[in-house]
Amino acid sequence: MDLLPDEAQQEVIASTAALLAKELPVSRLRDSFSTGPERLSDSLWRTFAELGWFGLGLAEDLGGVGFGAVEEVLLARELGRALAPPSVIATLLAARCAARAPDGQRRDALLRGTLRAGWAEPVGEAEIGSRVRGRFQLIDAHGTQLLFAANASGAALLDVEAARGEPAACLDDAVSLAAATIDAPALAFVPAAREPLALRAALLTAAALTGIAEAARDQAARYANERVQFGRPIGAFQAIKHRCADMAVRAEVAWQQTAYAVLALRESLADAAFQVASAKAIAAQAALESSASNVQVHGGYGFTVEYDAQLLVKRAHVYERLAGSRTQQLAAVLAAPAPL
Amino acid sequence: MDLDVTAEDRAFRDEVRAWLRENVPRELRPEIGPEARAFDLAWQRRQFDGGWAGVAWPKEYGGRGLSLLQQMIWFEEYARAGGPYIGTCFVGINHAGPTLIARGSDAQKTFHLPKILRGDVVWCQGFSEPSAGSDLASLKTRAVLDGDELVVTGQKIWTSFAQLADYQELLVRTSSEGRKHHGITWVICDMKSPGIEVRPIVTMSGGAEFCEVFYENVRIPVANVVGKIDDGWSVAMSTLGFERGTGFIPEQMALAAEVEELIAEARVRIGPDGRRPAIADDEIARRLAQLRAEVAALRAMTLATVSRARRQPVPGPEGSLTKIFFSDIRQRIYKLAMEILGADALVLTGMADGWTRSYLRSYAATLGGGTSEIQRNIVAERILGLPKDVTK
Repeated sequence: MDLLPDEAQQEVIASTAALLAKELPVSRLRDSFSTGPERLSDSLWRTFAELGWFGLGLAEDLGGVGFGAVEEVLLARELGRALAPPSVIATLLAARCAARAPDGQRRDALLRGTLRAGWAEPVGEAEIGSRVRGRFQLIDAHGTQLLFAANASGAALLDVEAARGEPAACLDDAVSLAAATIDAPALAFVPAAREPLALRAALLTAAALTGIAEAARDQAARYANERVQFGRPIGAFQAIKHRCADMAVRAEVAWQQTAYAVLALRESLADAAFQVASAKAIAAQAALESSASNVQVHGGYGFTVEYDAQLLVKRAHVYERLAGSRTQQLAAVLAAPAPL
Repeated sequence: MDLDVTAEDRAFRDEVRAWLRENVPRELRPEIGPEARAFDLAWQRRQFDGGWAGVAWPKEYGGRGLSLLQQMIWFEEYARAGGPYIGTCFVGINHAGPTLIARGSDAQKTFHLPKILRGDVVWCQGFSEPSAGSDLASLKTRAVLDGDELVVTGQKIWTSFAQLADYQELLVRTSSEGRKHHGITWVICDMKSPGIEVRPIVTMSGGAEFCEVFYENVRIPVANVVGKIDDGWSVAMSTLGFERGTGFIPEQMALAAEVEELIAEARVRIGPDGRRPAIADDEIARRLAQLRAEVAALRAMTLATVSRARRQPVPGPEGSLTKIFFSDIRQRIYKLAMEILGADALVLTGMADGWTRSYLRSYAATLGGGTSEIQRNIVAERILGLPKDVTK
């Protein structure tokens, strides 16, 4: 048993982080309050596809890279840290959904990067099966051809045209949002009994939220070291340094639980659903609280769009909603049988 | 990253489970006094005789020489089997033992380690002083070299079980030259030495295990110095590193059982509306769920600590992350218990049982082993690289 990444996994982390730092620095989103939702260029999307990101955890005979859920989680954590559009993770999940349905043609198009998927997140009760019915929020679905929807019954792919929604402004300017009532056949459907894709989705959002919590911690520590007041870096004052320490605790708690949960899911342990729900609930709290605390550390600057602190707060709220909110996850945690 | 459990580990778990089922004491652990000492030592002896003392300690000192993961399996099963709190054996097993293994001389190891494991002796800690709490390095208890002895005069405080202990891990000032972290010496003090006076302090939870210890010209052989004279700070930091790193694993494991017990309590007790069980209350349910998720995360952090310890034998500052989280959860469990208990929250039962007693005791969680404020300083300065305190 080993909860720390091995050398190959550290390589996945390092190469992903290096590419994202170059292609998607968080500061790129500072103007999104005026430029609106972000859509990554086709060439960058193809780069992701060529790196195998959309099939990272998919077996090679299904067109994937042949890694597993662990490497997907490591990728999602870096995507969260870089505030990459949530549709990257939706597309990865959509490719898996297509592969398991099976729908080889869509799978290949998603893996090649010629099809993209956004999120269709149920609002209240929704029916997800070979037909999909209910109220949904479409999140980061502009400029995508497909929607990924999942709940405890299974996961489905939908044609984005089947869900013409009512656009709304999202609190995160860089992410598109629409409210939609859907009643349409699924293009592909994977029942939860075949594979619990809703759990995988929750886990990947937990990893992305952990990445945001870590980014908040690192931004705060950097600023606390640089900003001088009363003749000292503000990080010397306990009011600030203890805030930063609490962010480090939250990030560590969120990451270790996410790491354990992905292993539990990979090994199909009896308590995997409980572990995943715990990870999502804890990572969401970590991202929300640490990103808020990071704004406070930045003082007045943190309240402006000229600094990145506010971007983390907003993205944390988006991921908190995706694949089951914190409240829903906590209900699942308490409903689960007593852990072993 | 993997959860691979070897056949050997699985067999080990089965063996542990079977042994604990037969051997865990059925009677409640006496909370105080010589009865507590007798109980703890007898139970330690029983574990030793069964081959279970010091699962991860080196074989040459009577341990079993197994992996830290197997040690954790032991603690996990121990908590599940309802094994008693380690009590008076805590300092010997979790502080002095690991410190001696890492920093002691061969003679010290050969003499003390088997005694600790066999349950022959109780150790206590002599670190804090009335004016040296969080600022531990400002300690003043003086030791003057006289031939091959150190002559110690001064006072220690917050020494649990001093009145029951045979030995003490004692920090003394051997030099006032230079930085205050220099000139401290870590020494083994025989508690029967002439010139030692122990005064118990009653705590808010009713226990009197806490003591002040006074030293007047107490003579300690220089051979009892662990590490070098004047270099005790680094030895003390490894002692505290063990405490924060792996010393709390059994208690972390025990917290999970507490949360499950509290959930069971909330299902049977009438809640705040006077009609339905407490768990039907949304806020109580949410807080229970949160705690259940958090003790799962605490276990994951512990597994990470064990994974880290394999790469790095002396724990680093990461232990403080776990300590902060653990202490906070512990207090929130008992605060929630007080709400679930309703009117019964005011009723104090025996010394050794009841949610209310545990609630009062939980105030110590963010104080003992370094306050959570000091732990936050460690995390901020040593992990995040923030500047030192203004006062340093």
